[in-house]
Amino acid sequence: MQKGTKVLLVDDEVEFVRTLAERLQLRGIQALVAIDGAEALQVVDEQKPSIVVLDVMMPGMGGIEVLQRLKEKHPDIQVILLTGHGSTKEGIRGMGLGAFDYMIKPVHIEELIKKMGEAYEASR
Amino acid sequence: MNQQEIAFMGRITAGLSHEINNVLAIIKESAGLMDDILRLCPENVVPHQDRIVKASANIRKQVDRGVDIVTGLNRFAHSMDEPWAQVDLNELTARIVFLMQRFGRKRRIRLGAVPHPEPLIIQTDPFRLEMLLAVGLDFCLARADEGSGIVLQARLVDGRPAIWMGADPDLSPLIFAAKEPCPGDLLVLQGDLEHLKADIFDVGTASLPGLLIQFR
Repeated sequence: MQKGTKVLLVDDEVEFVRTLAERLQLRGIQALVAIDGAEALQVVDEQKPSIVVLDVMMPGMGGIEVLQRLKEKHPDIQVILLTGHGSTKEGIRGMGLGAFDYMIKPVHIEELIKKMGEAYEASR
Repeated sequence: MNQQEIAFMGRITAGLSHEINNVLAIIKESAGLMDDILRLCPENVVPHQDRIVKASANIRKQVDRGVDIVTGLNRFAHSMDEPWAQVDLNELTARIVFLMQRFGRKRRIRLGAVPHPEPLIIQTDPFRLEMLLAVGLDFCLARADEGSGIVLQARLVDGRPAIWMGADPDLSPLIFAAKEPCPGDLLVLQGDLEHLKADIFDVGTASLPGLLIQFR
């Protein structure tokens, strides 16, 4: 994955998503943050990230609904779902709806970057 | 407990374990960020840098441990979702061993799960079967010698899925025999869950070398 690649992180856990974004930025990845589904869709429209890392379990518009809406409008954007250990079924369901893959939280940052790299290559 | 009460307990436990997992994820990323920032600093610029790195590594190690525990708790909670569901005996035995490790450690008895090479799928009440296996393990633990081991093994017996629970011959072949003379090789429990009531383990008391739970 090229340095400067634009990635959107979506999670309602503000501390989690901001800290993860900071760590990715330290590694040369342009990490944007959204803390709910509506904000995520807005940022996608405005910023056109290459990859979206999306939490499945969010209040309001859940990750699966965000995925569906995002894919309708931006089928080329790759989505990696983050699930809890108890919601892997949602991850599998999400892959059926067009997600590139899913990972179980908490993720190891190097594994996440590797997965984002795979998603980036798949989108080219 | 009736099914509604079980489902309620499972739902609350699953929700709380999800929240704990989120807390662990934040701690993990925060410790990771500390490491990242320290790596950016030239050596010996930050006082006690090596001690901070060591403490951070310990935080991450304990977070991983916490995640394992919460994962076990969450899977246990989800076993209460449905009163009748498909269960893989390999996964089930591993989960029960994980959940019961603490009780084994207290008695200095090692617990292990030995999977069958292929998935062994049965239809059952997952929560009540877990409870049954836990009671069975308690039964074995009470009769095993300190320093010995007990295994749960998913296996096929006469072509039918079964769970063997008893001494690990590699670790301590005499666990049960050391207590009292054995009346037989196995206690074979046949039938569906309705017949496998927890109190069946009262039968035979202290001298069983192991338990075999066989499924239709």
